[in-house]
Amino acid sequence: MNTNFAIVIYRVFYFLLHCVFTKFETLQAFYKSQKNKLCHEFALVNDKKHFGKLGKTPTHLTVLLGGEEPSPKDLANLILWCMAAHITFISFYDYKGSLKKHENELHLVVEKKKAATDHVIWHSHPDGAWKNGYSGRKIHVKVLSENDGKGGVVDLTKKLARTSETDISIESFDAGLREQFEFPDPELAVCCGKTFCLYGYPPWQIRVTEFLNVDSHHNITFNHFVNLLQIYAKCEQRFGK
Amino acid sequence: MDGNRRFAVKNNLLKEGGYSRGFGKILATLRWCKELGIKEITVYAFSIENFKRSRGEVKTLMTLAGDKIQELLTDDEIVNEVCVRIIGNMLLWPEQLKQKCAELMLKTKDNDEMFLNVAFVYTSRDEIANSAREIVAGVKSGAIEAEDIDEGLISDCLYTSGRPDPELIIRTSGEIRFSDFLLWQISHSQICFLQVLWPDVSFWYFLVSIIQYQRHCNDLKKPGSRQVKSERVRKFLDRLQQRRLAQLQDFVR
Repeated sequence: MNTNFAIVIYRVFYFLLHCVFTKFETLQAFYKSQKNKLCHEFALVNDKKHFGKLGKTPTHLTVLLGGEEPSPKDLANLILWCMAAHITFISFYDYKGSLKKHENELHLVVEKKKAATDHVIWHSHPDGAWKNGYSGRKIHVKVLSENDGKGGVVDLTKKLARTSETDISIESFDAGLREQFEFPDPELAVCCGKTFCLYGYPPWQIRVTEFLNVDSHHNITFNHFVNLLQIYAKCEQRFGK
Repeated sequence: MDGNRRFAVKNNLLKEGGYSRGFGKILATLRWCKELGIKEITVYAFSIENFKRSRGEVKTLMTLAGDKIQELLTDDEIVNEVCVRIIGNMLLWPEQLKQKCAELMLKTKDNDEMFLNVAFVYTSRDEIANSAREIVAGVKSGAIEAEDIDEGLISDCLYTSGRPDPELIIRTSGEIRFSDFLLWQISHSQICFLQVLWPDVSFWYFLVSIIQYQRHCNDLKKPGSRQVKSERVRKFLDRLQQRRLAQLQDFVR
């Protein structure tokens, strides 16, 4: 009887503990949403004014949408803000695959928002081939889905098994995956949603990627974006040393 | 298990002091896991990248590792209850440690109450490339076919083969990257980055991570069910495990 009573007490305590956490998270989310309403997004940003003091910026920023439905207007903002911050590559990972299906919608929103001299290179588009000698701001964009994750490693292993290749070093494997992935390894990853999880993101490429978590990419503000870059700029890598 | 050196600096200790406290924390964490009903824990003790540190520091770390493995070998609770696996590139283990590592693994391999995996001379890329190498060699020798290659087969050839993927990954000391640790296995894990230095971790920090996991575990997408393995794949994997076991027995002799 005593054990059953103890179990009941533990269950009540457990339930109350999680209620407290839920209340806290709700209040935190409300505070953040009110704070965001006071900020406004910048469609065109002054590069030097906002990014001059950063020190270092990633070459490749990757955004993991997590369980969220893609919001084209906010993803378009991220593309343009990255371009202003001179980030050369941006990728979006949507494990559910809905962004890949509706990528054209994102293309249209970006075309409307960008300046005439901005050049956005879509890597999923057959005509997105990179052309040389183009002036103005530019950025490479790629949409990834679950098949690009572990599936990429499987595909490369199958390819190597079918050739006469016997040298499978880290370097040669890396070279093979790099060719497949097209982009350099991301230095910064932004995970969206309350659950902080990779959801099958390509494992090989995230060896030394810095990971930040945001509650949602929906209505993400420019200030929040700059804040993420500021946190990244402060990260120091020792590479084992 | 990040933050041992910063802990040493903060507390005016030598680096060995920081590492030693860090090791003690592994045993404490194992006890907490036992209390909470968590059966398995994997810790990152030494990366292949850490060989880049000064010769003196690497020597200190290896001497300490040897001492600690010896301690585990004489700890009855560990030897009788915990299955200890040292995961990493066995061929790169220092000569003086090969025998002790192998002895500990062989002595505890049949335990099934708790599982402690220690990543030692390990990087995830080395692990994945090694898995691919084994599989490609298997295809070339005719043991398996290229069409047998899938995510499950790669998982089964990793150093962690046979063990379930972790549901929760914790990194201490405020760093927000994985540094080539279990990149394949943490695809669907809850991520938790803690500011606290590893030797300063208390049960309450640990509990906060567990609670975070509990709050989000329903959102973590479970990996798809594995395809049934064919007879030839099963034979290939058995032979791989036998080879790895034989290598350990070789180190002990």
